Amino acid sequence: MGELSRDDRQRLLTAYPPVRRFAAVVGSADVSPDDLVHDAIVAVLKHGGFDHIDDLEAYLRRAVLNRAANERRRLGRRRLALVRARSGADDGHSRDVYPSDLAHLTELEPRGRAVLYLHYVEGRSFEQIAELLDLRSASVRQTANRARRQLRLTEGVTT
Amino acid sequence: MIADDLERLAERGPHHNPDDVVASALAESDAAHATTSRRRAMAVAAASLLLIAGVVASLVARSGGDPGGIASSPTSVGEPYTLLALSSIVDGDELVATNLPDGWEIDDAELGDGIIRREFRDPARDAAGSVSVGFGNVDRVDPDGELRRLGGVDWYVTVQEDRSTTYTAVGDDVFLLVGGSVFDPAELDQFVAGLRAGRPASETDRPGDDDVVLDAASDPAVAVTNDTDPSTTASPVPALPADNITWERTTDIGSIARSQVTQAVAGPAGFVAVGMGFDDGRNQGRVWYSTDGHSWEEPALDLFDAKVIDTVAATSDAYFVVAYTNTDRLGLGEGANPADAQLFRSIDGRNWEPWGDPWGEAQVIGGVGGALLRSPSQSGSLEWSADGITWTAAEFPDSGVDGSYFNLRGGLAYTADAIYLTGSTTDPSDEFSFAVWSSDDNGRSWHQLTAPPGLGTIATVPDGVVMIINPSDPDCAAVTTSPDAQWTCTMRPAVYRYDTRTATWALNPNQPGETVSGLPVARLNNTLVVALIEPSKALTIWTAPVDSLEWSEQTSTRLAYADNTGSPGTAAIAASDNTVVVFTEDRLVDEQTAIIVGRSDAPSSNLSLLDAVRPSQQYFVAVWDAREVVIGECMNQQGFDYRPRPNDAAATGGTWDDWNQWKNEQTASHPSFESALQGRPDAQAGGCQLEAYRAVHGPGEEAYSKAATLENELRAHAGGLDLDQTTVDQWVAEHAEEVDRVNAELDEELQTARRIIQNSTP
Repeated sequence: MGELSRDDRQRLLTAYPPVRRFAAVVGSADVSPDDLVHDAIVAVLKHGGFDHIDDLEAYLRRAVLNRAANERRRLGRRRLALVRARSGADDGHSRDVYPSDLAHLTELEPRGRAVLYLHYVEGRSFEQIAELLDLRSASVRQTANRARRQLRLTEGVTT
Repeated sequence: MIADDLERLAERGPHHNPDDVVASALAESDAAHATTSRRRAMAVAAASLLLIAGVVASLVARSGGDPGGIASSPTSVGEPYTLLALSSIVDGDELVATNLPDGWEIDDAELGDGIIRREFRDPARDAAGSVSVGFGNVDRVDPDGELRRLGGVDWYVTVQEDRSTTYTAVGDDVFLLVGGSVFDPAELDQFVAGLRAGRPASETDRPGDDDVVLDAASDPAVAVTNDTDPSTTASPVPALPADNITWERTTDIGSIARSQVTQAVAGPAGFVAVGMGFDDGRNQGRVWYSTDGHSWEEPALDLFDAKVIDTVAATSDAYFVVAYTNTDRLGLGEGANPADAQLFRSIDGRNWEPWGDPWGEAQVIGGVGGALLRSPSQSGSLEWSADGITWTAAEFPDSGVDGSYFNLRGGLAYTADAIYLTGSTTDPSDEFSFAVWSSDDNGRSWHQLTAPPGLGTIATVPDGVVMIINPSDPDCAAVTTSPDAQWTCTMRPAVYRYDTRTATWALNPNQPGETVSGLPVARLNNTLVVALIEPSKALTIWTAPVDSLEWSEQTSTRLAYADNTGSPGTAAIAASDNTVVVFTEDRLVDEQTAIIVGRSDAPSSNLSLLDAVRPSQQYFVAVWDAREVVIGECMNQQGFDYRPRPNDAAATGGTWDDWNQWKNEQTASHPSFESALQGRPDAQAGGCQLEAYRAVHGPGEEAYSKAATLENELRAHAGGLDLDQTTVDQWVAEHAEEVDRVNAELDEELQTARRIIQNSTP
């Protein structure tokens, strides 16, 4: 693989801050946002570098989201059982890297968090989000609706 | 408010310098790149070390094309593919269905309780269907529903008042529901069976992941049903009779107990196993023979004692072994290369003889019913032979195979209709890929299939082939220093099925248990059998019906090893039509090699039924004697005496030991004796032996090989090896022209042989 070209390195560093923020939102509490971004960059480098990627930032976001979702799937069954038997007890996973009063957001699945973040924080339309995450716009709307409904149910959050 | 919360969330955790992260990622990708470059060498080594196959496969799985996430899903190994649902749907993943036919509409509905339903509609035909997935909702199964087993899956079938029917498959905590509003129940049977046939619809853990994958047929027309266009609807795999297998650890195994079995085959007269023995403190070449898998004899120790047995193969009418001088026995030390590999042949497993010219360099061989294959040392070369003497380069009309590797040692499986061979290719730009080729003409020509997901062991199944790749995490090959568990990382192997109808590979949702080693596989009638080395290095046999591929552990077969140090190794396995034999890798069970024999209650093939398509005993007796006559005349013409070799079919001519001793004496007295008999070392084939062969059989393929091909076709027609007279008679009647032609050739060769014998008799 060798050295990165100067241009490629600059593209990475430019994309890094927004992707890192995105990773912090969609990643599980157990995973460092920087680690997620790191893994996403490794994936890019392993698969031929940057030449074939038009929108590096979007590509990295999708990679980050997929990794976050996979991480969540690994814990999915156990967590689901715990959610069903919700008693307020700690589920055994450290969450101290999250701001303590944002626990309600952690109950959302990564894609839900991603959609809400891109919509409410970055101000993107659902069509733009769909393009960014390579989803259908209907799916994005559905995901957003589901996430908002879940937030209302769990914490009484208003949007 | 939510925006504020998300803003704060976006800044969580300790921040690292982006430059450092990028540099770290670059270093890691470089390491991965170096690992990828090693794959080629690893793949070649996998021929003898199946363990490596799993590592390589896992590297491939990890280097999938997409940014991540579902990169290890079957979509990375072949399109088209329809992934209906992931269990993690409750975490937000939606039901996915791609490649829907034109006219179909999709809509998603959230039913609550974490259940998601994807609905399909075709307004033009007033057709509709749905697939629903959820967790822990077994109470949704209609208690009045009829429990039916289709395609290896238990379905609760409920017919609603409006004639709609739902099929619900329930796992431990997952259910899959399919149904539709316009389905005819009969069509639903086909739908479900087709769903099952194309891509199994049961649920299981994906290897290396806790996800549950619910796969549907590759053609979405099957998944959305009511589309009975045969061009787009996969045919259901017909249910095959299940085998009832009884397992037994055999005790009368002779010198095998003190030896290492490296390979075994089933052939025309029983089983032949090969390996190395250590009885006298030195390596001994071993070739064992058994008719039933229980009682083993070692009929040719003198012949093979001082040799290294490289590979063994069986065709429909003979066994072959490649062996070369054991330099350890000559005091040359290990690692010396004698370059005197020789092919040996036996038609009964007991009497062995050198066959054809010495090869020099050892080459791996494989048997495929009507032909023998070999792969010379140089890559990109594969040869076939009908007799083991005359070898012809196989053809690859689709593309060149320079740089290709053919895995004859563990990657060969065949039916009467097709041969499958695994390996790898390297294109001119040095791009490495795993490969599987198939041949439908006894190995003469080969076509490359859709690239497989890795390199593993293979076995044939209806409408395709199964590849077992083991396991799917590269760390599983890591050696730890733990004294009681040297191999600690364990994963379940991945089972992939190649469907010849769709030319795609798909991950089977069910697989054998955790293992640390490669899984040798054999097909016993309608059952796949693997010998699985557990993390503790105990050996347990797992089986699966060839149609449903649902694996189950045969707990009664478990053998615990005496200790857990050293490499876990790989077992050897071979199956005949109704018996499978499994050898433990080394002398680790009670400090002995152990053998497990499984016997299916499927009727054994009754050879008397096959008289119409098999050469007669008198044919084999005559052609052998005739060859010996010609050899004798040929040798006499060159000034040598010749003693005919024993005729096994006739049980005449003395013993092979005596003959070999006589031959050795002749060779010692006349250095050119052997080359006159078997040809010069630099010749393509065989001196007087080849001349005799041609005199009896003429040019081209001999008649008995053609008869063997016919027999194999007949067996395949019967759906396995369960033959009955009616089936045989019907098949023979339908193939009367071919049968008559081969029988005519058999008769012609028989008459030629008799004429030769008659003319030679004073």
